[in-house]
Amino acid sequence: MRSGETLCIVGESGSGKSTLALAISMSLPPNAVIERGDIIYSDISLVRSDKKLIDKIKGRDITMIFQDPFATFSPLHTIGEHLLDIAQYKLGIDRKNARELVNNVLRKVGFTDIERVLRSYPHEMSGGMLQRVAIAASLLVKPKILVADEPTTMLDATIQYQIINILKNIVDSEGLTLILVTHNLGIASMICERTMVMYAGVIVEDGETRDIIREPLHPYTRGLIDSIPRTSHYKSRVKPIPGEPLDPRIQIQGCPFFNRCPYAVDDCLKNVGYTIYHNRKIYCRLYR
Amino acid sequence: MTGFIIVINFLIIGAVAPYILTKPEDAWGISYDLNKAFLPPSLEHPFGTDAFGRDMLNRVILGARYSLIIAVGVVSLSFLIGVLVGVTAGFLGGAFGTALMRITDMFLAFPPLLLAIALAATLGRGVMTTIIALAISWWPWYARLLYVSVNSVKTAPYIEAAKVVGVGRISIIFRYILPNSLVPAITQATLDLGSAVLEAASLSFLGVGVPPPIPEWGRLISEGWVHITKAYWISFYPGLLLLITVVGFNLLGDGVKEYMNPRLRDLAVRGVRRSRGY
Amino acid sequence: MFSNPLLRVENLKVYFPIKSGFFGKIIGYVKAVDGVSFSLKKGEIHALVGESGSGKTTILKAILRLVDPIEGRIIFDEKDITKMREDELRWYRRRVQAVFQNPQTSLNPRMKVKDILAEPLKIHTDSTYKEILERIRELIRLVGLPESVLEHSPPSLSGGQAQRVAIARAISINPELILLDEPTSALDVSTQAQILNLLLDLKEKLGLSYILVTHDISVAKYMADYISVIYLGKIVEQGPAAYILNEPIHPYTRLLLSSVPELEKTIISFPKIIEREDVKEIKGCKFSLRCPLASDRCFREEPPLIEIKKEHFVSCWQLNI
Repeated sequence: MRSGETLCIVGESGSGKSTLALAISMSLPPNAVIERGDIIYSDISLVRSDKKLIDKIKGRDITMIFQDPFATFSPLHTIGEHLLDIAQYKLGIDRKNARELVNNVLRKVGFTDIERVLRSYPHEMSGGMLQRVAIAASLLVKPKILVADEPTTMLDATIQYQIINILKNIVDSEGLTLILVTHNLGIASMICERTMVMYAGVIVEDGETRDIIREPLHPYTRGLIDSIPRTSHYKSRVKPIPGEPLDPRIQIQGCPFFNRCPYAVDDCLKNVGYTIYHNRKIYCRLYR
Repeated sequence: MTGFIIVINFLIIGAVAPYILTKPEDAWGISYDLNKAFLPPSLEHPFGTDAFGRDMLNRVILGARYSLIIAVGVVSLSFLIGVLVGVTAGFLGGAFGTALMRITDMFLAFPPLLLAIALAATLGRGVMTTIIALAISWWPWYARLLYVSVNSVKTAPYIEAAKVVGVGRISIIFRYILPNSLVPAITQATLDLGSAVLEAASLSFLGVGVPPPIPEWGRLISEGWVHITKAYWISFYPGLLLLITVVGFNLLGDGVKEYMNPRLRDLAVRGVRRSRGY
Repeated sequence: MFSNPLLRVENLKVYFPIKSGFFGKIIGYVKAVDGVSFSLKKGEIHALVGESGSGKTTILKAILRLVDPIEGRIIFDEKDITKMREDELRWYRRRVQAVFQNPQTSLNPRMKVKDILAEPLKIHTDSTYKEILERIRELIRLVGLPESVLEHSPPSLSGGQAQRVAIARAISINPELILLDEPTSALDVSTQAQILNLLLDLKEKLGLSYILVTHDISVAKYMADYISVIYLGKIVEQGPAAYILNEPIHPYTRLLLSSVPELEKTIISFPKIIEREDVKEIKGCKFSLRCPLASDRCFREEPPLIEIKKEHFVSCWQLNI
């Protein structure tokens, strides 16, 4: 990814999108094993670095926003305490001087009554407000990369729209690099220049969001877009992909989309790989 | 699975114990021969002999039966009482349920040891007394477990769904609420079997539970304690078997817990995926 | 056009008491549903659209008689079922069924699928054992599942499979009306499409009517003939789907529709929303706190539902803007 790029990772359950996000922000659970490959940030290998270096980068250069805002914050501390803690422990600024910084980021995400927010406990706020606080908390450390894992999935539609807009504005004004995980292609088209579609742990299509939506190339992406209802069923029926998303516990040979793909042939079980086709990276034999 | 095998072995031994004893007089503690006292483990006496010259192997084997009877007895009795109280409180709910639970809490305050001593004093020591004493101090745990369980099941969506289908109240209680509420209690009970053996042994060790000459393991350990330096085997072998049994029950309990959970997921997912249908 | 509606809901109000203190004194009410009216024609799909806290699920529960309304009437096939007791509702249960949001929690995890499907048949029909078995097989086929799932229990099924079982259970006794509470919210996009199509096919095949509760506009757009938009317990706008979706009038409806991230952006203009934190309890329109068009009257008086054109109702004082 280039600096300042906005990327959406799109997929259904079991696609591995959340795991990828967790890996990038170095927040994988302890029982996760990185078998192969690397994540390289600014010439530093995150996979091979020692804990000290990772701790410096994690939560500072790369920050993350999670799906459930209520699980992100300790219910026993006020928002003010949370933000001041971050300023103190991550930035090394003492609490008195940090006040100005904290007020600043809260304003950036659209809060007007700052005093009240600082005094509030998480349960006194709505999901949307808390998610804005989460974004503000990330901004405090002036990160280079912001990873957001389905930040609006648990929110109402109207709030979701508001939050995505705020996120978009901030990413633009602060020049952040954004990785947004979502199952909703509509959100991807709102905020990301680039989209990666994942299925069963594999990136099946990677390219410009606009292009992918206008002309999806990979059979899975096509199926996904055809599944989204856009008009009344009287006018046209959606064409769902037969079968169900692959259970990540099942080992497969070759292309994971094989048993649901209308273009599958025996060869798909052996010869799969990436090709570049019209500025897009695709994992499918159709484009070789 | 391992737990199951261990437990089954002990159950069998316990069941047939009286019939496989080579020296029943020793086991039951009827006879003694001081000449043979404190013999270390040998071919003739694989577990040695105790202070009265009684063969330890035989005593330990018979002890298995007692330990198991007590364990199963305690857990069953406390489970039964606990289920009755917990489920009633859960169903009736409201003030009555809360009141019932407060009464349950009072029983929790009974220190098992004191209770056992008191009962032993009034009813005399014995297997039955031990079982009753332990059950009285144990049942509140099950009652609480069931109360919480019933309450959470009562509000589960599938209960509402059942009402929409038109399922009658009785059916809902017996096919929906009970089977689902009992699951955590049953898993707990299986895990508790090991603890029950241990607690019974503790009581006997302290001289309160089972009286001599009954060779309950706790008792055996207690009897051998004073001789631990010169005749370790008197306490050691009963202790070892106690350990194995408790571990066995715990493994069994874990296995039951796993079984009761949606582990069967894999089977359905794998099987149905074959078809490229809808 | 003149056939009697299958279901009529009249001025439905469902309040939940807020209790406090040791003796549970009632200090107020949560007005989950505060005066909702609509009717459903046979063969119609009516979508109740709203966000969390709108009361849409409570409306369904009231129609299913899982909660008791404090006011209002529910009339099914010209019979007032509002006050009927459970034993009087048996016939009603045979004709009105439901599918809930989370299939894993709406099916008894300790029952096998075949028992789950047999249960309604045993209760409402006097079919023989053989007839029930045959019917179960037929149902499984109808919802697109292989017979092997019959021996499984819900925890070992995937979300999509479990929801199909729930649908099979709902149609097992040939009901006329099925209430669906966010039937696809817990499912993946591709599975959602399958289930929605299944519901449409079943509706055609079996002559069903649906009341569909959803927070997802695209689902409403796809499925609904008629839409009621609900905000904090009240219907703010209702009418044929085409009207609501293409020419929304109420500010909340417009806000909702403009918030949908569309693949091809169709702009429905809406001025920036406001969050007024000062005003606490309003006697007037519930949406006035967030409405940029709100005037004094909006805070004081509740606007009535007015029919602004044929079958299109809106509740708002600012209609001329």
